[in-house]
Amino acid sequence: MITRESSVNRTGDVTRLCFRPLLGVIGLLSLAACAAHLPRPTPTQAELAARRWPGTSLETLVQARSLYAAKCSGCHVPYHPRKFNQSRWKGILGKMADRSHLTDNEQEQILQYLVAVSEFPEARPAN
Amino acid sequence: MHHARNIMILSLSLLAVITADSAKANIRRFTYTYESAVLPPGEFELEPWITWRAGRNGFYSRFDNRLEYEIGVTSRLMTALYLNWKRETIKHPITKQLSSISDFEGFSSEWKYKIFDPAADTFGLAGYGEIGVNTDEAEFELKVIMDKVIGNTVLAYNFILEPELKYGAGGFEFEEFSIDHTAGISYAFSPRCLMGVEIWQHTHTQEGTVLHSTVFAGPVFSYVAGEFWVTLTILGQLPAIKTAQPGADFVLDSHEQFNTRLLMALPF
Repeated sequence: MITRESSVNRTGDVTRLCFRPLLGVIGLLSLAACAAHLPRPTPTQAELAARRWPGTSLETLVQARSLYAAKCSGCHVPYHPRKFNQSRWKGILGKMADRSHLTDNEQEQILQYLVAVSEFPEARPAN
Repeated sequence: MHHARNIMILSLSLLAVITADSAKANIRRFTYTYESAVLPPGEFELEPWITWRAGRNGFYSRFDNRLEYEIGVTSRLMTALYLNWKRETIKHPITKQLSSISDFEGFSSEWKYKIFDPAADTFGLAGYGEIGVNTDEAEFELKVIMDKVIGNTVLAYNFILEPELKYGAGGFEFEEFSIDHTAGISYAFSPRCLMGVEIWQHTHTQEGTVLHSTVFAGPVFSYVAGEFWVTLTILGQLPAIKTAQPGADFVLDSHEQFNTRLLMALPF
């Protein structure tokens, strides 16, 4: 016969063995989730990018970041922008364009994002 | 049975070769733990799976084989079709004779939807559903997939619910239920070589009671070369959290001492 007490014990057993690890992992991931792997462009970087590539804005850089993640992360973890310089990135994007179905315009957008977040300062130095 | 299975495998392989111009490699760093990444839309990948399970009470050796055909549907959604079969060899406890059976285990359909990207967002999150159908049973698998990229390191975790239905006199009847946790950490020593650790906790319940809860752990290795990749996990069973037999340290009546899984992407 199943008493209320044994039913409670059973539920506790299932909870302890099955759901506690989940809480632990969520906690660990929360700690690890302090920053995204791909840096987000800042207004200063967007301003400097607009000087080099007229028409570039914070919005287009944010879109390019999403495009970079969407096109590349299906096959591998996207490389960190600081891993290569502008000329290496240009070569890599040209090489990967066919496999990732990147148009010339999309390559240019992604290159602008990669260069802006890796070569331009995040904020203007304080006076 | 064998003839029909071979025809199916051949047809699937031919389909893959015919559409080979859009084949892509979607590297999997773990074999028991899924990651949130999905194939780009319109792309596909053919992945054979081989799982070797060995060492129950008495001689036990088994291959679980799957052939998976993955298709990218949208930038967030992918699907896959699996063909499943097994070969199992056991030793009779009295006659000591070895006997083997091969069995086609039906097909499965997988759907994965990515909510957050592990590189662009603070962590990756995806929902996963799989239905497996055979002539006399149906299996469902629901997963929550979480992962995180930190430099050259990838962390992944899956929470898995797996109800199983068996066909009986009154139609399909609920038979058993398991709850699993899998997790892994993988570090890329170079773009080609990755190494890490994978853990799998399996808890089997019946009518709300935990029958047994086992933990497996072991190393995972991946090698990537262009569009080819291969990943191998070797798991050993650790002392059980809960066993059905009092005093037993391991669950060896329905699980094995060793589980080894090899996954690869076929280049063509």
